Amino acid sequence: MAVEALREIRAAEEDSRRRIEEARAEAESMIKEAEQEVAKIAEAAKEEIKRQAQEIMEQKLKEAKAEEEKILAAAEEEVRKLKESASSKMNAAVDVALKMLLGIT
Amino acid sequence: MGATEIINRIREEGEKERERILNEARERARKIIEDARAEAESSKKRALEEEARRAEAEKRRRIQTARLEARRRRWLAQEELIKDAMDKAIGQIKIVKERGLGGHKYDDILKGLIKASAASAGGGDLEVILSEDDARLISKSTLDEISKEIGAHLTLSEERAKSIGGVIVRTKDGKISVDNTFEKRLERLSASIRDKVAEVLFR
Repeated sequence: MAVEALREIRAAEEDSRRRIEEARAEAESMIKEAEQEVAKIAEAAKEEIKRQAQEIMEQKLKEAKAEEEKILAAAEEEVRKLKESASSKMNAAVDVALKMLLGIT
Repeated sequence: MGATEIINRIREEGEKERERILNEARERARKIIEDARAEAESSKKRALEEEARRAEAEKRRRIQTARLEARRRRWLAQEELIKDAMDKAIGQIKIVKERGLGGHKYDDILKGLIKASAASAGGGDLEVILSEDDARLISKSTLDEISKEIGAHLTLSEERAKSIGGVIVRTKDGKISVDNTFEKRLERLSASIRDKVAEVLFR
């Protein structure tokens, strides 16, 4: 009877040790999975940063382009007006240059 | 304590240890993921803030470049108009030689230049060097008249200036030479002629 009890106790101990070992292995696997998840999170964040950064830059470049076009169009208009206004004064300017060149005061 | 009781306790303690190990692992895994998410979020925020600054700087740079380009285009247009006026002025010298300018005959203009050049040379014995065309317009009597007027002695040199017009007056010893050919005058007066032309064109 005592021998049988001891055998059962040892079996229970063995079973308990085995279940604890399995739990340790399972715990290790959980940590590994978590670490894999960390790598996925980091990769996803990297992709998201890349995508959003591109969007930010595209938006700013779009704004810059619109402003550039406005500035250059205004300059073109100014040049057009400048030429138009100067054309009516060209003869007087030539006269001034000629007089200075010839020494006529 | 009976055998059954011992066995139950062993199982109970084993189960507790198993639960402890698994709970601890679950908590650690949860914490690892939570930290990683927080770190990802924070690094995303930093990176995007940096990108926003970079994009804004690039936008400002491009706008500044456009402003400079606009200024360059205005400046080029002005330069083109000034050059046009100056080229036309040089081109008209031939016409002035035939028709004069603003009531001034060309030989009077030339006389004026000879007079001014002689005065600049400091008077005394002076040689007057003219282009082939202009030499035909200035006679000995004209030079004598100018000489008398300014108290110098001017003679027409045999040497001819390779020029579209104007005059070179040189002392006999060659130490002083005043070059008032139109090419030299343009070179010398270029800046002030440009200023005056710009003033007329763009005021």
